[in-house]
Amino acid sequence: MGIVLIRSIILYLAIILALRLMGKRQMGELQPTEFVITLLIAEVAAVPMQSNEIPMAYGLISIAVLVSLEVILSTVSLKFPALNELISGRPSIVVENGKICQREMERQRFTVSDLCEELRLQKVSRLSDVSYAVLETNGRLSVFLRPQAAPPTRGETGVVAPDDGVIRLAVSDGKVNERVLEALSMTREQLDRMLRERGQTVESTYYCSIDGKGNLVELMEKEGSD
Amino acid sequence: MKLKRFWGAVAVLLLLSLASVWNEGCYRSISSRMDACLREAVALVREGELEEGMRQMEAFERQANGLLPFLNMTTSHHEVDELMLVLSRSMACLELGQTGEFLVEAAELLEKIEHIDMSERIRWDNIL
Repeated sequence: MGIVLIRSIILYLAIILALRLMGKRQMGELQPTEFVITLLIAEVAAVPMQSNEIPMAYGLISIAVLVSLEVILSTVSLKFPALNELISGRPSIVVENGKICQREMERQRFTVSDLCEELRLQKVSRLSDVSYAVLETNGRLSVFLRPQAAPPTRGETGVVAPDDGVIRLAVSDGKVNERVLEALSMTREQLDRMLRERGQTVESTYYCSIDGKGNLVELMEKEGSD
Repeated sequence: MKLKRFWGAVAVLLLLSLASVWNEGCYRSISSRMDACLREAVALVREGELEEGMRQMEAFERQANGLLPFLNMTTSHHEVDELMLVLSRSMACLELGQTGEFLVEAAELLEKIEHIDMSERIRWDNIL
């Protein structure tokens, strides 16, 4: 039983490393080949995890080969767009100026129900509101609304919105994110002073976000910290 | 970063390819050594020299035990376990003076050694 336990840990870490090396962090962003590889890696790792008969090297080698092939193929695809198109396909316009491109829908085996579901997920209720809808190579639908159906931007309404830059999480559960401080060109002392002004310390802070101009945006205290 | 990963991936594949060729070479070498040792034991038993044959089999057993970690790491445990089982049986036959049965077990042992070697060879019939 101990062997299964240790193998499971090792293979789990190997899978994590493999997925990190592939460079994607969310399932939703995977291209078809990467999705296949991810499934294969899981299957390949499961076999030696469950069976002591099979050398663990078989699982690790298979994972290493799959990841290496994926990295090589994806890099070569960058250099040769035709290869990329062959492997991943190309985006398809399925709705144009409010009209469904029926031939393209058939080619992609994308049903009207699928289309309606995707539109609903993006809070679009009328087909006539859609300028373009593009079925991407990763299976997601990108929807671009007609100007008259799109929500107005602040610029269009004349509202002057301050540009405070990206809001970053500076303190999380009592720990400072040093990279965020570096990105904000802020020192630890400045952060401590900012928190002290609000009666907090880093250790007592559960959540602290700071905008691109160095202003504190949100602050939450740890429960039971006083 | 992408090119580093690319060349890293190429290096990993090359390394694994070289390792597999080396692995195949190792199995050939192991197989021929074990085969030679076992055949010598069989020859001695056939000539009636049971004590010498027993010593030779003990040497073979030591060799097999020494190779066990490598074998277990790179080939099916089932095959290795079967090999050791047949080895135990053949040793038992020899200890009991059952030379006929020993020769049968030794033949099976030779076949298993060859099978382990053949199944690790990079050949189309193994790949398919």
